[in-house]
Amino acid sequence: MTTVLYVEDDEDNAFMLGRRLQRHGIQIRHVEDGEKALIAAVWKRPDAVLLDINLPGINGLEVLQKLRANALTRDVPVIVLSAHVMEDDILRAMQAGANAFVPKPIDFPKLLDALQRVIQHDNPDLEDSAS
Amino acid sequence: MRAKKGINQMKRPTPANAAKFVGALLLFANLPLFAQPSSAGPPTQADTVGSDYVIGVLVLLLVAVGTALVLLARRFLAMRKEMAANVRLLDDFFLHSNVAMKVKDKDGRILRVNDVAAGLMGRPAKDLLGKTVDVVATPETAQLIRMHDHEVLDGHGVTAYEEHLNYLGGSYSLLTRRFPITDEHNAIAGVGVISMDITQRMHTEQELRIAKMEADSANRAKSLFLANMSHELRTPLNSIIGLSELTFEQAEEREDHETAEIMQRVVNAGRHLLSLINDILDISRIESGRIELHTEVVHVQTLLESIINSMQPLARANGNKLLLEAAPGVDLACVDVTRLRQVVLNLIGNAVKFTRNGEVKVALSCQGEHLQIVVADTGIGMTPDQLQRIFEPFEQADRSIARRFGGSGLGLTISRQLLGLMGGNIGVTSDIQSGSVFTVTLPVGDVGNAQARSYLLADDIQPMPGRNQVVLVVDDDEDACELVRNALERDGINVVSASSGEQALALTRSLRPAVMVLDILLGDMTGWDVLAAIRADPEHAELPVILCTVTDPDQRTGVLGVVEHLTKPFDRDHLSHLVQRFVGSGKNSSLLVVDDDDFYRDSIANALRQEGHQVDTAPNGEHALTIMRNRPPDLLLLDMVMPGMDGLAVIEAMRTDPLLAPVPIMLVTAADISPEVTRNLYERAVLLVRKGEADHADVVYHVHRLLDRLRIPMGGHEARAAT
Repeated sequence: MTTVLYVEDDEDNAFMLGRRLQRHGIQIRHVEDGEKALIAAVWKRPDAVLLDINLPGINGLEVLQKLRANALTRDVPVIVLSAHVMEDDILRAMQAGANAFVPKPIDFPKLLDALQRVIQHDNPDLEDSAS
Repeated sequence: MRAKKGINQMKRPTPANAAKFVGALLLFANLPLFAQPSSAGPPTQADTVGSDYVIGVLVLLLVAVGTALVLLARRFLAMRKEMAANVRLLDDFFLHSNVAMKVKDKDGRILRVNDVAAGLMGRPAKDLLGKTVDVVATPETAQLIRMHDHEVLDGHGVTAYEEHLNYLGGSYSLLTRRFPITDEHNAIAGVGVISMDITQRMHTEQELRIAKMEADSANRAKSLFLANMSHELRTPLNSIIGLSELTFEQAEEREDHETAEIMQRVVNAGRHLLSLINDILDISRIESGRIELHTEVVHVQTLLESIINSMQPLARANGNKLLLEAAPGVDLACVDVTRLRQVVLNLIGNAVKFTRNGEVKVALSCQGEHLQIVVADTGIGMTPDQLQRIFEPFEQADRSIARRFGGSGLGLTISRQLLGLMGGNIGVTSDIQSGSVFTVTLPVGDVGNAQARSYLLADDIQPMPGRNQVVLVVDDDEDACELVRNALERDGINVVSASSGEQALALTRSLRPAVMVLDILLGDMTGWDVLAAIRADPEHAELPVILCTVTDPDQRTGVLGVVEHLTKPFDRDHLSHLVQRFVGSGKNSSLLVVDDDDFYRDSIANALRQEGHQVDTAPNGEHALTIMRNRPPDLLLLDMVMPGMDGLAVIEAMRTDPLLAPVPIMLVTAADISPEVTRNLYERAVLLVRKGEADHADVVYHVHRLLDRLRIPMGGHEARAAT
């Protein structure tokens, strides 16, 4: 089963996306801040990380930089989900090493596409469980 | 008034001088008188015959001298009068000037001062004569003035300063010019000072600066507010739309059509709200000048075709035909693709929305240096009155239209503003009931000699996942490519060469090489351009690039993440060695396995040896450190729990040893590790493998993945620092 680490401080958003992804056979591990995200990513490597930018404590961009600076998580695909949708925001996320940027409100089919693309790309032999 | 006399004395000729002058003239006039007898006839005759003659001559002479004297006196009086007039004029200038003027002697005593200057100093002019500024200025100001005066007195010529002075009369900003005053021997006798009061001007300037700062900060605050507002609105909207979609899907599955329809309406309303937020954000960004254009060279027809294809479903939904008519000769243009797409999408969107069972035609043509895109529909059209307001915000032709047709009513406003930014414009003609024609005109832009087609083609090639064990050599000199090929193929490395920058980019995208060897001088673009294009593409931003130049590296190599640098002519072994770092399966690494469990340690070591690695083993921490200090391994496999020095202690010892700090560690343990410990280990790039959960094959797999990952450099020099 595909496991995705979802870093999101808005509970409604987390609830919504968790439910929707589960319906497509994707397991969600939800953490609500960056510190927990870093530990969770090392402890059990997820197939992908969905990362919000506005987080309490260390923000999403820092989380992304730390993930990329660590040999263990350097190549975990990261999709940035953010309601900050200015060009600068997107550029910053891509520069920090995001594999994709999906603006909020989320276009769900697009998110599924992006997820499948980055997971297959990262791990071609992995049987894709997302439908 | 004493000072005034002083000046007068300097300039006016004294009576004594005038007397000398007249005396000299008389002497000159008398000369012929004494010379006369010597040139006249014999002296004997002269006494008798010439007495009348002599008297006549004398009278004549007297008359002449008298006339000369009168003339001279008149001339003298006229000169005196003129000089007096000049002096009065200068006095008047001095007195009535609106700039402050003073004359000071060598000791800084004021000899003359006008009312403006006196006013600044806060005392009547007559009270200031003979005094220094000390009586009217603060000590700091007096000190500053003395310093500036002395520069002039010391012979520095004319000086100019902006001075901020505190006098009894108040504080002033003065623009002051000082000049030396000289006496008759041309020696410096004093200082002349002319000051312009710029206090008000400075004040105004400061006010303007503050106003500008306030405006800037208000603008920033507005932008920030806008960004925050957008974020705050989107976050709940994300839940609303997402949960409605979820409920809709679930209702559909239950075949609960009533709920499904209700939820569909909620979803639509949510999306409408979202499009409004996006449009308002767009307008604000355009109006505050925060939109930047990113132009690139594109094949316009291909772009329009892709837009039209994406709009076909919407067109068909209303029974419309949507066609493209492209005139020949329209090829490349330099445009902001995103913005042009936004405009054309908006126009086609409107056209198919307001047309039922009709036709929407998009025509592309080139008018000189301009591109023309015409979107014509056979829809409901507009009245002249509606036509006038069509580009105003929220002015759809009719209020009811928003309800019937949807849309924010901002699309055309945004389109017109965007086109304005791009140097183009938009026009419209329409007849009620017979349809509307929107015409977009846009400068073709600087397409240069770019072969944009190859960009498009490169994009069409589906990238292969992962990186291939191929080295891409980019050099426009075929011999140079061949040289690299020979050097590398000797080691069994596959080499592909590109002879131009365009080709290099296309091959990078299609081949996904493991490393690129890039020459800086290419025919069509420089190596820097190639590098910049690669780094801008997130897919290839981390491609290791070895740069070849005939010159020394410059600082751009750091910025653009060049991992290595070769100076031509290069050494084959050096090149091969560099490339090997990025190519190959990661075999032949030196590893150290540390575990107090003999059986586990040896079996893992054997499994790794079978993979071709060089493996050392150590039963405890102390032993491991000794081995590593002798020869640092490529990777350390470390047990956590050991008697004596445990895994954490080994890591701690390695951290402080510069030789061992960069060695990556894979922690193999059966113990549960608390999150706190994990957090501490995090920065050290430690891989955790659980004993028992992972068999040998897993460990070997992890070792290889880790070695592979460590080989990919992160932003050049950070690669080692991160490990």
